[in-house]
Amino acid sequence: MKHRKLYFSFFIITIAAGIAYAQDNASRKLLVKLQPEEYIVTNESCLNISTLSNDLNLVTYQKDQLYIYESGVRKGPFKKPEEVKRITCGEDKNIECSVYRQKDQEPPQEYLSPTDDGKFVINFKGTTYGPYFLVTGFYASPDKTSFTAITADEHMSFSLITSEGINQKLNGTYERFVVSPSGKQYLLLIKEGATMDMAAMQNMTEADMMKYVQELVQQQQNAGEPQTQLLGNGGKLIGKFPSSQFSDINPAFCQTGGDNWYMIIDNSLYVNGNLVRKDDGSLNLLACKIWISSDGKKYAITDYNKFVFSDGNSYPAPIRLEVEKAGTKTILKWLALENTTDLVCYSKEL
Amino acid sequence: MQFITDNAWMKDTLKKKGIEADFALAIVFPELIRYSEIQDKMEMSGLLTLYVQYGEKYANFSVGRFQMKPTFAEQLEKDAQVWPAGKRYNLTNTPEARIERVNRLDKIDSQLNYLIIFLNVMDSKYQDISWNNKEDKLKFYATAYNSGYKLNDESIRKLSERKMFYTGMIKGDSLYNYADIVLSYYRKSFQPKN
Repeated sequence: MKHRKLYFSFFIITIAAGIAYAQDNASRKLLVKLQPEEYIVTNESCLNISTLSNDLNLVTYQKDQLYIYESGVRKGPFKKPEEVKRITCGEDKNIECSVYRQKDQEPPQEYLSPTDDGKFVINFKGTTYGPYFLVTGFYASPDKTSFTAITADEHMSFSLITSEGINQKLNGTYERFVVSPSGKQYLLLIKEGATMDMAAMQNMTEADMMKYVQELVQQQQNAGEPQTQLLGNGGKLIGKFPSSQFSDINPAFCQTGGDNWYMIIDNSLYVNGNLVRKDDGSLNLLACKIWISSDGKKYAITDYNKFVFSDGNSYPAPIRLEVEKAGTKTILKWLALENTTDLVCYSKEL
Repeated sequence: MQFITDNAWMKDTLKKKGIEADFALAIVFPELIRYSEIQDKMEMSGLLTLYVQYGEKYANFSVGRFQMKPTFAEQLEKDAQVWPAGKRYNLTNTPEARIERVNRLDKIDSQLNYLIIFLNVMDSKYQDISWNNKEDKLKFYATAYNSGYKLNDESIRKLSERKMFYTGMIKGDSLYNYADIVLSYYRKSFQPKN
């Protein structure tokens, strides 16, 4: 009877482990087992994931003596740093921040021309738009078929102008453009509140100008916590959020997330405006440490202690991380140090 | 220097705390230079992860504009406990406490707060010393900031004459005296105008 119970328990545990294993598609490879009280000298070691598996080169210290791991073989001890051979590392593909940052944008000058009265016009595919007092933001799609611009008039009233014919007044000050890797999706941040009327200020005395600025500041203070409008393609309002929640990398598009955008509000994660992870106090969300899948349905979040995936699995936090693309799949590869001694390389599809 | 100009709030905060802003910011000025030189090459994430998980054995790196080491911040947090009005920090030897510290070190206002604690600790520790002049005091404080304020008086004095500071990622041939840079900057830019 006792044995039957034991077998039954074993059976249940095996099934449970099997289910857990089936859900967890991560692979784990032990690269090296350090000795007790042995620590990696990180700035002297090669921790490039791409080359690590075949060519593990580490410098470590243990009880004030240095050791070197060459292709996985431990050599030493060395008493002085000068005795330790300098390691030449291969190409480093470590990604410090997951946020996609727009690169190689055409300079707006290509599309802007000054007018005789000091204004600007936008010349795009043979059509002229404007004139505008200022063009404060401009984005041309990568295939150069469309543009989106933010313009301001003499009173610093901002407008959204697009090649599709949108000409929309914006209620506030233009903060920034955030563009997806494909260039197809964008976000616009507009900080609400009164703007400084430059044209009116030109005719003011110094005292009037001071008074005007003071009144403006007072007006902003009375308005309470500043709000920022988040607009999507075509100037569509996504929502209003306290300005303090946003930064120059929040909201953002992710390097792996295609046209899907994300933002952190009150330590909760939103993808494409939808709440996908409510703050439970277990993770401190940082925009640079969030990975979004190309279909926007999955995510992974790392802090300095753990790496949590939307499938519910959790792993040790990465000390190095690389992204590998395999067709439509995105593979995250990362290096972790477990239990102070095990240098491990993980790989998992996002 | 532009960073200090762009962040006038730092001077205001220091003044509100009764601290001579020019004196305080001169102490961290060499670190601002270093930070601007290396910020694009810094790969902090892994270092912070190792520190959070395993503590002081992986704490030998500097963070942020003022290039503060986690161990320096932790020591200041301990020292701040002795003041009745001092902020109470989580000083447990746990990943949670270290995450909180790392998050503080990531913010410039918290780094400024650590600088304020450092100055208060130094003022308290060396209140009986009669300094020859303001620059004598600044040289001593700057060396203590760069080399370790837990060193004894004599060691700090000795180190204040040595060239050990470098602006790159790794120690190269060009070494500078930390206090000399501080003094030069203080004389040029921060000396109170009469």
